[in-house]
Amino acid sequence: MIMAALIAVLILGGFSAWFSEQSHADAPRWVALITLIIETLLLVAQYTGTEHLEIVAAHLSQTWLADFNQPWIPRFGIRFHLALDGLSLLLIALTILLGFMAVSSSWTEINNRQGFFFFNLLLCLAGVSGVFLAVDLFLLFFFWELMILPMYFLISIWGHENRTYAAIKFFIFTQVSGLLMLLAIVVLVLINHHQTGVYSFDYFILQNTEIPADVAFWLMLGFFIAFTVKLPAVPFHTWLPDAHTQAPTGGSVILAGIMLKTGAYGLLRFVIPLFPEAAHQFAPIAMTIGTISVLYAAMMAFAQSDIKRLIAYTSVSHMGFILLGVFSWNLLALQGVVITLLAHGISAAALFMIAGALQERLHTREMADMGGFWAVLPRLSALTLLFAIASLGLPGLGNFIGEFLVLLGAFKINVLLTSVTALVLILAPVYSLFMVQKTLHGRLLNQSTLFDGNPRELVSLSLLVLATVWLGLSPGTVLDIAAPALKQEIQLSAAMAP
Amino acid sequence: MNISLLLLAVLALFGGLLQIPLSSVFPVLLNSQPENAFNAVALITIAAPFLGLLIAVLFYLSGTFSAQRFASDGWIKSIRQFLLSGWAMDALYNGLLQRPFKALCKRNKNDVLDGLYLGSAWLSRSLHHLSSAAQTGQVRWYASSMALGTAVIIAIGLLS
Amino acid sequence: MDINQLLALAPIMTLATASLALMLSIAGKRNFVFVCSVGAGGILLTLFALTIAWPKTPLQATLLIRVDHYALSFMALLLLAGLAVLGLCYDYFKDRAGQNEELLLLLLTALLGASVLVVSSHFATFLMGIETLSISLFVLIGYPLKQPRPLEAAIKYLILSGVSSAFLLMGMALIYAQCGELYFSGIGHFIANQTAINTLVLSGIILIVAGLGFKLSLVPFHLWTPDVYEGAPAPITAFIATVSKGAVFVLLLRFFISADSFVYAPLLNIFSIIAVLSILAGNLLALLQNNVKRLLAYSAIAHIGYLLVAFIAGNSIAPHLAIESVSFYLVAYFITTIGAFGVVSLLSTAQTEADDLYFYRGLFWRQPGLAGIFTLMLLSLAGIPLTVGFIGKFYIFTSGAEGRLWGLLATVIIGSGLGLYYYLRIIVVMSMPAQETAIEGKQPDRAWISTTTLSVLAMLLVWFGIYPDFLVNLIHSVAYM
Repeated sequence: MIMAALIAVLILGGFSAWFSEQSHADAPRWVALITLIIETLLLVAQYTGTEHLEIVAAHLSQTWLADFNQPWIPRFGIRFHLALDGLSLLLIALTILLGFMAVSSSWTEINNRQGFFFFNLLLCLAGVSGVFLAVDLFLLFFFWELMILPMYFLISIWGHENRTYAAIKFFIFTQVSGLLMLLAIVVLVLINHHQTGVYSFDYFILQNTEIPADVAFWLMLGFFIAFTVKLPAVPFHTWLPDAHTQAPTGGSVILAGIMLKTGAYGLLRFVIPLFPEAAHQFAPIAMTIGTISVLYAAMMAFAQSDIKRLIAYTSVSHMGFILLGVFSWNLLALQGVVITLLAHGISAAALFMIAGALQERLHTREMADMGGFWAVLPRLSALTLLFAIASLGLPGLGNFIGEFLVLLGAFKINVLLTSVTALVLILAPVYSLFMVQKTLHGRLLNQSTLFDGNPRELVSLSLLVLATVWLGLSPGTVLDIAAPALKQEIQLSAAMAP
Repeated sequence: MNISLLLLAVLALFGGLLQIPLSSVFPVLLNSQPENAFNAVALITIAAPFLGLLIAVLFYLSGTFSAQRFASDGWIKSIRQFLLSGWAMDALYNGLLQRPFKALCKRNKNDVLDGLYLGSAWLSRSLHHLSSAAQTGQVRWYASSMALGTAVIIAIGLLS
Repeated sequence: MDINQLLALAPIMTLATASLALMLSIAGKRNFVFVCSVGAGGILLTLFALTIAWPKTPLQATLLIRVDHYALSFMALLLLAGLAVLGLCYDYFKDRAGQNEELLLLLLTALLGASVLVVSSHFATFLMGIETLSISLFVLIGYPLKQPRPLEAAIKYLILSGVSSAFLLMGMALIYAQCGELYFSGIGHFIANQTAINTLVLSGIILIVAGLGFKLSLVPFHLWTPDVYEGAPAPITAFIATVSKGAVFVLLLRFFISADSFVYAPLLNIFSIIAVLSILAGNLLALLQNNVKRLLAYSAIAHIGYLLVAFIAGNSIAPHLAIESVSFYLVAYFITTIGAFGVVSLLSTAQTEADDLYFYRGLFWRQPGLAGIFTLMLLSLAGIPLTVGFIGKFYIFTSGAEGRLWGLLATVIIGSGLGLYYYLRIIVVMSMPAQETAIEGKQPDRAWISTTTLSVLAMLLVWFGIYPDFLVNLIHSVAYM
């Protein structure tokens, strides 16, 4: 019940924010803030209430914390089925945290059509939460598409100079890959229908379908392409730099922090458990794509002169680790994946917030126009340095744990690819420190009056600092929440486990 | 001050003759060669400082060779430069790793992989212009293409 | 003829009577509002007559007409579409000079022709229906008679429609020459009894497909579509795009199922080629289009291409699933097309038609309700979830996957991707800043009938998109012919 409320509150909050603009011009952002506070309370209630769980559906094992199942389109056996386990819980927590960050960074940046902006923002978050909760494949697709449209509006209405191109590119990439996934879903359901005589889109029922090997490969590919376009992985990544650069700060925070994670979540939850043998066959190719993403994107990041574009490419690079880790499919690698998801969400969001703050002050994103900020913006510069270091994987911060666990887990499966991927430990400092040097050190070029971080920005960024330090120094809590779900996934897809 | 220097000088010259009882620290000897073996290595090790002393005497004491002329020789200058720059390790890294990497990155700044998608956009645009050319607005063209289309369809139907 | 047959014919008779009544009322006194109400009342009475006829069916009402649940439900759909178009016509034409009352009469006769098409089971009624529909459309398209654009469109439609009718008649003649039968079921028996494919019958069927392909705007018979859609008044364009196409498609489906033509494998090849070409050509032609009516015309070509995929799947899958997919997609298509052209019609004034994209700049900020409705219609055309268009596309995927038409489905995906570009372009233009606009439009508060119609359509679109159960069950119960 609380799960459906999680989504519903965001949607209702979105509508309230839109309509509240008529009463007062600044009302929408407060409405958005209140909505997110309610969400947090709901999530805490869900988490603490799971010890007193009443009825969990019989076929669900103990790793699932909550279940909500209502009929929707009985003709095709489509149900409104939501379920929550440790993995989903963590990702929804990240969603809400980054929702706060997005609202905070858009507080003064958005001046026109505020209501519609926060409507789109909250609807995006609703779509993302829905993806993390859905276990009916049709519902998954529904929420998947629900994420895209508000983000399209966010980019195309409040974005920067090249926003139309970036928004349409983002939409077409995601939509076409989503249609491939829809086709795969439909074929899977039809195969199941032929075997059991019943139409069902339910994830738990479809896991037991016997699929002939060659068909399974194509179906897995359909899902894989949809999720790797979202992840994104080279060569499907080219929408990301444009979309991230042209989006407003709040949009970038959500895009980099959460929406990319839906691709990773899809790989974890759907691609491998639904098609274990096909995924096992495909694993070497997938891991190679991961390695190439990591290194290629790191190189591209170094080549950029636009700070947001640089950060965008670093996101691609970090997400390459996900592919490597997921297709290794052992507990170490998967735990690394979960930590990377959370840590990257936090660090990427922080970096985009800082880039947005800089752009608000300087009205430029070109690093050639920046330099010497350490002298005039001490606090912001310190935070920039911290998150740049987090991004390159310094021990003590969250990203390191994730990358380390992934490399450790992947090493057992494929030594060559892991060794090549480890080269990023050289390339990541190259781009991170390059960014730091260009913006913070050197001569102060821009003589306009620059204000250091105002309290709102500093508080938001400090929250993120705390989060990433906590992840880096004691990831145990997070790993404990996710472990049961991960272990069960490995067990169920025994064909993949080494 | 002088006394300590004098003491150090005496020790430096004759301290090697002292026997340090190391057998408790390194009990097992691998190559048990007689301690006083006199081989080529020992010869070179002893001869080298005297050779250096000889060269110094020739250059600076007796003036047989001119140090200035020696230092201003082209070859010697480049060797000196090479040795000073840490055996040119930096230059090696620069040429082998840094420059190619930076050049590659700069060349690819606009992402060659994007060309795939820009190409498909270009293809769609060209196909659009191609098919728009058929919309001439003339009824005779429309009617004749209908007739031609029907003929083609009948042909396909009969041939397949 | 007994009472049951008469009752089964009640809808058609009511509609014909309503047309006559309308004609007499025009002869009596020319009053546009009164005539519109008579027309609307006629359509509503016909809908009521449908409920009378429903329990009596299925029944061979006359030698030439077969009334069954399939026919009656589609007739209901066509009549509701006609009613919506009537509402749009009222607001569009009420301010124009000239004698606009005959428009309603022709609208009713066109609906009559479409209804006859839907119930026909014989070539004669087939032809009668198509000709009645076409002749009414000739004048409807050219209705603002003194303007060059509609006149040009009407003449183009007239000539090319004549060409297509010629193809139809030739096809019917060829089939008759071989089978000696003009009944659909009789043709079906003949084909079933043949061991090999009869080339003349095959050619006949292909010629009929060519003739119908004109009405459906399939490639290569599509060239007239943008010109005629652009020239005709916006509500009439809505009518051509929905009722005319829908009736013809329903007839095509019935013909193919009754005449058992799916056994002819070459026909499936031809349909596949036509579908692929229509999807690709429709989407490619619309890509950089700046005229909204031409853009919607091209997108309609693509949508009938998508519909053909479900039709082709009817060969290898259970017929009721094919009929269900086709029906749902038709309903979705009707709602969105009437909605989209309705917005165009509402924005047009007596002097200018709102067809250039420039008129839509900043519409979100000038008239948010209308822009919202247009956005919903465009998203439904693009197949985005939350809209009925998505469920329709989902049905296409399901029937296509069931029938293993992988190439066609790949084309559908490519077509959808292409389509996104131009639909989104319109939405982007509508969301541009308002101060860059320079056009006046009609205020919606003066056109409440159209606004109500559009709002109802938008609500249906979202309702069926989120909770399609009602519509799915309705169609499911009817799909078993």
